[in-house]
This record gives sequence, C-alpha cells and structure tokens, in this order.
Amino acid sequence: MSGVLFAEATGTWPYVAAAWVVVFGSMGAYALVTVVRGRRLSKKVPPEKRRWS
Amino acid sequence: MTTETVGSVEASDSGPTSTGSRTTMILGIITLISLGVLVLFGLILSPADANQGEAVRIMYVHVPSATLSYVGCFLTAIGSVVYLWRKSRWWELVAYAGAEVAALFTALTLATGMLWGRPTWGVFWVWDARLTSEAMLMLLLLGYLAVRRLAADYEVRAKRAAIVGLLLVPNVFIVRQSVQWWRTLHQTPTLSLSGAEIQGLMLFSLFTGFVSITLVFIWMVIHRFRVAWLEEQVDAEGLDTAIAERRAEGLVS
Repeated sequence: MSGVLFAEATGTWPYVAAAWVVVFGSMGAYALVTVVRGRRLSKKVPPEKRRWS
Repeated sequence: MTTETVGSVEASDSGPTSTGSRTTMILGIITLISLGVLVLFGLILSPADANQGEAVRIMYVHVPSATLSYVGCFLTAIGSVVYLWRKSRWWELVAYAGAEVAALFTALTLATGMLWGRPTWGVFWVWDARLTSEAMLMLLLLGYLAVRRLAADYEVRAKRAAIVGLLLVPNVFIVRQSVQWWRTLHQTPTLSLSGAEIQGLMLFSLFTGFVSITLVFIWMVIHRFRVAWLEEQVDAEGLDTAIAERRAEGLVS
C-alpha cells in the first residue's frame, strides 16, 4: 500500500534517478579502478617502457 | 631525480607514474564538462515526453550506452582480426581493452533498460528478442574476458579470445535488427537513417548524451589499453626474472 502511494506521489522520477546514478556511478567506479591499477603497475615498469611518456 | 627498487624492476619517478598523459588529461577535462552539460539538458532543460513522461530522460544515457557497447564490440572484432592475421600484440591489447569497456556499457544498457522498462511496460524484464539478444551479447563479452584471462600460454589464450571476439559482430547485428525481425515489446530505433522520432531539446539532449558517453568511452579505452600494456610488461619482467633465477640455480647446483 505504501509502495503504491509512493509511486503515485513520485511518478517515474525514482527510476530516472536510479538509471542516472547507475550510469554515472559505474563509469566513475570503473575509471577510478583503472587509474589506481595504472598507478600501481607504473611503479613496477621502467619509464622507457611507458610509451605514452 | 630519485629512484627506487620495486620487486626486480628499478622504477624511476622521472616518467609518468600513471596511465595518464597530457592528452588524456585534456580529454578527461573535456569529458567532465560534457557530462555536466548532459546532466543539465538531460535532467533539467529537456521537457517530459507526452507519452512516457519523465521516464524518457533514461533514454539520454540508455541509447548512447547501447551504441558505445556496439562500438566496443566492433573495436574488439577489428583487434581480433588484426591479431589473427599479423600476430600483433598491440592490436590484441586494443581488442582486450575494447571488450572490457564494451562489457561495462552492455551491463549499463541492460540495467538502464530494466529501469526504463518498469515504468513503461510494468515489468523490469521480459524475454523478448531485443532484451534476450542483448543478454546474449553480455554473456559473449564475459566469455571473451574469461578466455583472455585463462591460465595458459599467451599465444593460446590470445588466439582463442580473438576467435570469440570475431563472434561479437554477428551478435551485434542480431541485437540491432531484433526489433525489425521479431515482434517485441522494445520500441523501434529512435534514430535511424530516415530521421529522428524526437525533435528540439529532446534531440539535442540525446546528441549531448552521444558526445559525452563517446568521450568517456575513448578515455576508458585509452587508459585500459595502457593498463593492459603495463600488465604485459610486468608479466614479461617476472618471466625473465624467473628464468634468470632458474639458470642461476642450475649453475650453483
């Protein structure tokens, strides 16, 4: 009952918010994990083998 | 300049200590600005749809995510073809990076699609042609990543992964055409060569979504490629060290 009342009061906004949070959260988390892995691995590789330097 | 020994490799702080470069830093800043513009137009300035109401705002992240997942699959297939043809490690790493980012965007497509389906269809999931074929694409990408990470010789796992990578293109074609070939709950494409079903700010918001998510995709593929490159260097160094140690043991004994 309370769920139905909540859905009627808020409409589709909870689904919109959830979708945007999932997209931005996942992209941010993946980017962070990739950068951290890159930093950790860069310490183990000599600069001349990091070809983007 | 200072140096430090990490493991068996002497690393120096004179070079970059990450996968970032001046180019990716500029790209990252532009990407963040474009994401801000996407939020502004997608959530605030664009109007609600006459039929779908506010739920249409999910389209601005769902459709670009789906498109970029296809682009990632094509990138993986191209990298796989070049690897099988010329045994190019560079292209094999491009394929690997493309597959991982494509898997992320395919997962986002499925998640946002479910969140869009609930208020429009009344259910999160239905086994219709578009959703099922998209789920199959996700499984195929996970299969590629699993094969690529097998505990086997590099040549063996790269070749097997490349063969799986080639299967992505026909699967993408099936996903794309599924709404035309079968009667499905999923709507037909909003954008096509014959034109767009939306106009004005809604069309501009979708365009902003394409631009910003494409920039995110490019940034991710570049960084993921560099991480994969570093992993290869670390693995090669570890192998060289192990061989040297075994030879030293042989000389001692």
